[in-house]
Amino acid sequence: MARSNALYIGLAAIVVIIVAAAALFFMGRGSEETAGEEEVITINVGLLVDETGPTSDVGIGYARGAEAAFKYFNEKGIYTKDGVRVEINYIKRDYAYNPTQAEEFYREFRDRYNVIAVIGWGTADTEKLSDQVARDKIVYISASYSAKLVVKPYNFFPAPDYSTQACAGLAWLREEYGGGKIALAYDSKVAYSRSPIPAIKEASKILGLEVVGDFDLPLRASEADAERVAREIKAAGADFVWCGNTISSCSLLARALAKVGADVVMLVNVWGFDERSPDLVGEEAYGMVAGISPFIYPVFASGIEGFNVIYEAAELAGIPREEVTLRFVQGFVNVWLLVKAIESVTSEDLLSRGGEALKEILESQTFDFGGITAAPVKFQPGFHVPYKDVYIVMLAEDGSLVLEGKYSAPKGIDCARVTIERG
Amino acid sequence: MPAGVFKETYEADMAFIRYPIHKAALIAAIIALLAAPAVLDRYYLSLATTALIFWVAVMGLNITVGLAGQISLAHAALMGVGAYTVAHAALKLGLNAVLAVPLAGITAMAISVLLSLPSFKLKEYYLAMASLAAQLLLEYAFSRIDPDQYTPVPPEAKVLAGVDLNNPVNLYYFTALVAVLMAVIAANIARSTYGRAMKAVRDNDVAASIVGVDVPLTKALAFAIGGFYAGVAGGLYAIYSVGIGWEAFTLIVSIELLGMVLVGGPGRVVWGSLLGVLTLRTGWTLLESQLTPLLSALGMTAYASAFKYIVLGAVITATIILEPEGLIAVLRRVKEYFRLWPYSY
Repeated sequence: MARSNALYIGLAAIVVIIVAAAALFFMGRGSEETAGEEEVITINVGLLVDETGPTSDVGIGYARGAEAAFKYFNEKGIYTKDGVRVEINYIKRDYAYNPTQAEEFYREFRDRYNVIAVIGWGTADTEKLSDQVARDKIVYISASYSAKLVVKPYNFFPAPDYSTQACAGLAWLREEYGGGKIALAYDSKVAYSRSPIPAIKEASKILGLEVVGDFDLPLRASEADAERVAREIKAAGADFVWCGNTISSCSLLARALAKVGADVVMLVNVWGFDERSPDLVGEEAYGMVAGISPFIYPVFASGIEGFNVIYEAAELAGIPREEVTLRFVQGFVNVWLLVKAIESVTSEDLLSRGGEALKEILESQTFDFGGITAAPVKFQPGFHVPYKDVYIVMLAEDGSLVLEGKYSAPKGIDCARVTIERG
Repeated sequence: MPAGVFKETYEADMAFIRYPIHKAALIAAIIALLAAPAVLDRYYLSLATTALIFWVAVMGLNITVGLAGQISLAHAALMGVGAYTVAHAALKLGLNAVLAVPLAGITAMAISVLLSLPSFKLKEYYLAMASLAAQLLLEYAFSRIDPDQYTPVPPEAKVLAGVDLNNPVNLYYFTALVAVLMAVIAANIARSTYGRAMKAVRDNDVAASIVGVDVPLTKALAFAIGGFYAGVAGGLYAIYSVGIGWEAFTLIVSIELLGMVLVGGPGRVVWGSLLGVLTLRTGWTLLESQLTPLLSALGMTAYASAFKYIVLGAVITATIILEPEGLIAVLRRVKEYFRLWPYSY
């Protein structure tokens, strides 16, 4: 009898939870706010992030920046071209870097919340959804800078694609160190890590670099994985190493390369190197690692006008200035790009044509982020590479980050197209 | 005039519809199934479609685990075999995705028969370990044939004889048709000679063999049927998806499917499986969409993913402890109450 009672209590609790959830859902629907007598349009935007998956080492900072941007611009006021205030209701979902889960959340954004734009994250999920977002006419601004996305009509990002970035990095290597052998370390099962590889191989030929091999470094590498790859790279006699994973994995590799005594310079993709690198790679790797970034690091923000906006937003969100990192900036700028597009459409267009109107604006205007991006953002219809410059940041012998300067991909090769054709 | 329902023949005892309440429930279910697109918006319709797909998968696992007692932790991987069969048949062979669904079932069935071989010698934990190895092997194989983490399923391959399954309503009806068909077959398997042989093997394989049951054949059959169901479910999932990725068929998903069998009712192939899916998959999805904003507001976003496993783990544990026969047993008590009403005592 006692067992039966407990069972019924348990079941009743489950039913209550489900009913409460349903009630909350229906109560939460259609809530639109008005600010005094001012006319306010509320639009829904999806925010897809990875805060718990294999790329959460960089995803948490990105999500923080994006959320701070939404809060800041809502607070400050977003106005369409004809002066109507827009409130962005963002719906955040953590998909843990699982493309299948991303598709489920995308369906929720589209079918339940009727979003007109999504601020997205990873390469596999963004590539997977790219044709669908075009059919649904939903603008998708991603943290993935995959070259395969630049020809997709509704996909945008305020940076050069990974392939163009990598080619610019190789140009810097060549200029700084001359020719040599390069080893490519990346996770061969991960779309992000694989993305620029065809372009790197092609650009290496032009720059006189010899690719000595592909080395499989897991995105969630252990020290043992990193050491194995480091030994293989050392045995291959490489002078340079390309690391195409995120910061945890690339830092472990840098540490392992130093440990095994490999005399190499490691060039790291944008998500694999940031302000934390000096601590993560360890002193022994100082002077041998450099990172690529289309955005200026906050540590070099002095005199960069755009950072005033970011710092103001961070202050509003209660985030100390020292916690404004490169990842925060990347998330912030993605939302900022969307806000700038909204500010350039009319309220009628925004309401009636949503994502389609935003796409037209994004493809027709130049967006300036006050010097944060390596160049102003200008998308060509049908080919969304907004600019081709990147910053190279070197981890100096003393552990400080040194801005090497701005570099571009070598002439005579369109790295994005190489990846599109051969990737 | 008899006061109640009396079964006087073997046929009446074995009939699908035995009591008036069955008739009423069946009519209500058919109406609900047919009317769903008219009353549900697109989001909830897609939840209903995935529930039907997972129902097919869980029915298969329930035959293997619940009916025949053969533990399998590779069911998600078998779903993956079906999904990849459909995706690659459509993408590389230009085959229509709908026509590739039976092929998906057969491919998964063939692999499942291979996976059944250890069951001839192994039982319980050891069999679980063998199926775990199979799951991980298949997972690895998927990740290698799918280096971009997804395989697109071309939208044009989802149109057959003028019926466009890219349309969510059409897809829902198609999935419902397949799911109901598979449910009818599953119900008959449970009542057949083979179904009874599976139960005998589950309860005591030595005794079953003494009374003449071919134990290895019965085990292989249970795996084969379970695999076929998983393959068909995977094929349907490929049609439902924009593209499929190996992350959809991981060990965690296999454990979730097993959880659905345990919560719904092991051995109660049709309705137990449906209850398991509605509780652990659809129920959780609905709950999650409310919990996530709540956790975000409390600054606990990072715990949202962990929360899923805490809640689902608690539900599975509570069910096993409080009602080992699953939620279907509770439903049966409720049904009996109303069937006998007003003399339910």
